[in-house]
Amino acid sequence: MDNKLNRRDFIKYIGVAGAYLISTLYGIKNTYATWKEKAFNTDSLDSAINLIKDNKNIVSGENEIEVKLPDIAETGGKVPIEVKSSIKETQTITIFVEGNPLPLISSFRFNGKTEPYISTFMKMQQTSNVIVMVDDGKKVYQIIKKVNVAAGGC
Amino acid sequence: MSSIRLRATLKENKITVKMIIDHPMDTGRKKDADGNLIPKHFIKKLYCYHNDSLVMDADWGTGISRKPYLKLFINDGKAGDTVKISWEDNLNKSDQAQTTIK
Repeated sequence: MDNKLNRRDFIKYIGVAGAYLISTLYGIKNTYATWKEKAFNTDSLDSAINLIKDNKNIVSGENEIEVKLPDIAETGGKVPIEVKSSIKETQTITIFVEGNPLPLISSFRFNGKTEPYISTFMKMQQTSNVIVMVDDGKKVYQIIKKVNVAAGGC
Repeated sequence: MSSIRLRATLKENKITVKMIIDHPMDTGRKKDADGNLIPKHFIKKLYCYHNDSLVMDADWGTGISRKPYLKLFINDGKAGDTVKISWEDNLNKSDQAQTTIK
């Protein structure tokens, strides 16, 4: 009798602990995703992209992502960038600048409560490609645009 | 006084959020007037809350311009809602600002 109860309690505790663990991990993953140290600190664009895309396939985002960038930036210290995704399940928008000492600029995380849109300013050291990636959890959509920088600012 | 200048306006049911943050976003590569390197000092995490629930968060590197500006749109807004922005930098400093939609 005692043993039976103990076993039942044991299973119950396992269940509660498991649910708690899952909810905690889920919560951390969704609300306080860790800052990707390696991706931000690498000087290699390929490494940064691989660390961000996380084994997902990259497809063209020409029709799904709208990126507004100047053709020519007078000063690289303050280059405007506006990104609008029409991908319904957009989870992240990530920006890379190929010609920067550290190519990963930033990553924005969405949960459906905001538009998959951002407008900000970034630094560009020299004329280079800007790569924008949108992750919908299944694959990564990518768009590449070139910006000519008159005076670098990094 | 907060380092964040925050404005949130409502149009139909969409909230436009605009902010400018007073932060140097130092890359660690520039030198000061005496030729000494200015250490890295930049915002790493930025959070946006709508009525205290997290709706967007961002990871930033040193590539975001100094005095960072950001604009975004929150869905399903109404008068009386609150919008809160907070940030944390690599020196473990942080700040926040909140506004109420008119």
